[in-house]
Amino acid sequence: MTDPIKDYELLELFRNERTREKAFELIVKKYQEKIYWQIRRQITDHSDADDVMQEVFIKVWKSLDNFREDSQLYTWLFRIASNECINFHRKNKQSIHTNIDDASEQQFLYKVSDNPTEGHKIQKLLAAAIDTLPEKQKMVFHLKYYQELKYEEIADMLGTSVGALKASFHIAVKKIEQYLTEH
Amino acid sequence: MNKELKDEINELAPLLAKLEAEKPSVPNGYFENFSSKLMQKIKEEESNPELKIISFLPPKKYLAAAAVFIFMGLSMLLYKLEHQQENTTNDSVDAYVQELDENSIIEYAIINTNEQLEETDHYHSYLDEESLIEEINM
Repeated sequence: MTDPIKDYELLELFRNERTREKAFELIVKKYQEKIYWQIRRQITDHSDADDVMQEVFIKVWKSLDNFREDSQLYTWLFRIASNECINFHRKNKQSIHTNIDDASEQQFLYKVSDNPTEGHKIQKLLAAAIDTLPEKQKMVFHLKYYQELKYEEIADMLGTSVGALKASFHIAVKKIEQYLTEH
Repeated sequence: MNKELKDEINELAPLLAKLEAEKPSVPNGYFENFSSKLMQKIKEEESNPELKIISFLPPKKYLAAAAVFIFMGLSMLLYKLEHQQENTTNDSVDAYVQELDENSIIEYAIINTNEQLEETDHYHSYLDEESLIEEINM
């Protein structure tokens, strides 16, 4: 199996007028699922999540030339997607929590028992607990817990060491556990 | 959730480990078609760019700028009107003078000179003798 194309190679291709479109398509394909699930965790309806996805990648297309590579590409995408989710909720005058209150089959369901009400309650608590995390821990938790990526993959994506990532994930998990216990 | 991750979480956070996330469904082929659908949308947007109002100033500043323009416009209008009136007065005096015959002009000149002389006499009556001599010698 060949290694996936590196971000810096994709960015180089994007800066070349002839390969710009192809490079962008490859960037979309590389990150679309991760960004989609990040959005979907906050926006329950698929068609709304799809609209936000499109907005995110249109913004990326328009501003990728200005991306200075001070951070990793995924970190930048994660931030754009977070902002777009906030904009979506602001426009729709819904908070993340009220959305979670309207939990339906389309949402993430968490089971601690067969009781769906309790499942939704825990789900609401978990979302609130994740929201208290700093951005980097939130990102690592999302990639590890929801995407089930290996530490090596995340380290490569975020440009951090495996050790630092493990520490970050463990701190995030403990904070969430403490939040769940206290509430 | 894979076993390795579950074990890792269980060690650190037993309550969190009890939760099992079930991913919601995504329409078939969504990820396969997303990039081509997106590229199509980008091309459509680029070929039909919407007219956008580019805001150079915040709304409050627009009001201030409008007030300044209105003030400048009114000032210019008033200035123009004043000058127009002045020109009209000058033009009408010229036209009136041209209509006068020679005798009327001479009559006007005599009256005016007499009036001036009267004014001078009146002034001289206030001067003392010394100042009068001084004035004559000047």
